[in-house]
Amino acid sequence: MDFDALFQKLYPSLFRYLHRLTGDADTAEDVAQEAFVRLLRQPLPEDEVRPWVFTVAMNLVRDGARKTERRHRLLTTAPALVTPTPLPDERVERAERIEAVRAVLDRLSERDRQLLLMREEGFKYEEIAAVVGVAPASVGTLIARALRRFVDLYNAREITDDARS
Amino acid sequence: MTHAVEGTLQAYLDEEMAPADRSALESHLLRCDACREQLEDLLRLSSEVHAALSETDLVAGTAMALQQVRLRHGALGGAPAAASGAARREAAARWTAFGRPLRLTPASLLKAAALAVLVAGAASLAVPGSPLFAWLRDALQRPDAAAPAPQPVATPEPRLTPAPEQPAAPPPAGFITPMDGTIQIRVIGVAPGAEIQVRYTNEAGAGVFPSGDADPRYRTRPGVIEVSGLNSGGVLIELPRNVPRASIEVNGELYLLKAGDGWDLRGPVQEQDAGGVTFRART
Repeated sequence: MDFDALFQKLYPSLFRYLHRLTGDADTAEDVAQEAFVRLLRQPLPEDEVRPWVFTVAMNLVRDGARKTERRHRLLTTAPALVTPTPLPDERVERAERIEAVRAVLDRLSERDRQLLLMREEGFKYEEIAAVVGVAPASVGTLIARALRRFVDLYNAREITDDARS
Repeated sequence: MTHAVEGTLQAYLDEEMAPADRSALESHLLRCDACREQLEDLLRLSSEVHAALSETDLVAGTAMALQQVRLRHGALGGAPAAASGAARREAAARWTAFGRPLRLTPASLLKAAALAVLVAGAASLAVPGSPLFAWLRDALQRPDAAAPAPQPVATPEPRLTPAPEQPAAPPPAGFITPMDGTIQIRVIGVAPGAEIQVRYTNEAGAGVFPSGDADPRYRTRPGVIEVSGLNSGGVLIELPRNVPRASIEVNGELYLLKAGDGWDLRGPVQEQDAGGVTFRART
C-alpha cells in the first residue's frame, strides 16, 4: 500500500466529509489525521482503505462528540488577539451563506446528514445503508426526502432573512 | 401508466439501478412527462444541495496534514501492527466493510445534459434506432456494471502492539501558514519558568518546535495553531518576520503582537536581539 499516494487521494474527501458533518475544521483535521495514523498501524489492501478510514473517523466523531463540544467552547471563548481587518461585503455575504448551510445541517436529523454527506462523497447505497441502518432499497427514497428537507430549510431561512432586512 | 416512485428516480440519478431496471425506466421516461419533470426536480435539488455544501468547504491542507500524521505516528512509536487473519475475522460484527472501489459523484452534470436532451427531444428519442437514443444510452451507461462486487471483508479497528525499541525522537513540530496575512499561535499548559524562544525567519509560515519531555498536541485552522502537552519542556517558535500581523499567546496571556513593522513584546522577556526574543513563562 502506497500510503502517501492513498493519503493524497483520500484525505481531502475525508476532511471535507468530516468538516461538513461536524462544522468544525479543528475536529475534522484532528479526526481525519487520527484515522490515518491508525491506518499506518494497520496496513490494509488498497480497496479496503477508503471505507475503513471513513468508518474509523465516524466512530471517532461519535465517541468524541462531548470532548469536541468542550474544546470548541474553549477555542471560541478565547479572545481574538489580533484585530481582524474589515471584510468586504462579498465575504460577509459568503460567511452568512456558510452559516445558513451549517444551520440547516444542524437542523437535519443525524440520519439525513449521514445520507446526504455520504452520498456527496460517492458512497454506494449499500454502504450508506450499512452505516445509517436501513435497507438498501429504501436509501433512494430517504435521500430524495433528505434533499428536499435540506432545500426547504435553506430556502425558508433565506425568506426569513429577507423579511428581517 | 404506472409512474416511477421518487426513490426509484433518485436511484436512477445516483446510478444505483440494475441495467434491466434502468432500461425499463428510461423507456418509461421517454413517454412520461410527469416522471421526467420529477426527475428534473430531483436533479435540481441535488445540484442545489451540492452547491450549498461546497460553499462551506475549506482547503484540506493535505501536505501539512500528511506531515502531521507522520509525526504523530512517529511520536506513538511508529511500528505498524501486522493484521492477523484471526483479528480481522474476530471483529466482523463491529462494522460492515464495503469492499468495493468507490466512485466520486456526481455524474449529475452528465445526467443534466442527458436530461436536457431527454426533455427537449422526447419525440426523436422515442425511436430506438435514432442516433440521439444511442448517445443517451451510452451517456447513461453505468461504468463497471459487469464487475462483480468483491466479498465484504471485515477489518477490525487496529490494536496497539508494543512498540519496538527505538531511539528517542524529538517531539513532533507543528506548522501553520498565514490566513489573510495573520498568524496566531497559542501555547497552552506551559510550565512556570519554561523557555519560549521566538526566532524571526524569512519563511512563509510559522513553525512550533517543542523540546524536552513535551508530548505535543496540535489543533489548527487557517492561520491559527494551538499547541498543548508541553509538560515541563519549552518551545521554539519560528515566526516569519514579514508577516503583516502575528500574535503569540502563552497560557492565555498575550506575549507578542505584531501589527505592521513593529514587534510589541508584552510577555516576560529574558533576552532579545535582532533575531528574536526569549520569554520565560511566568511562575
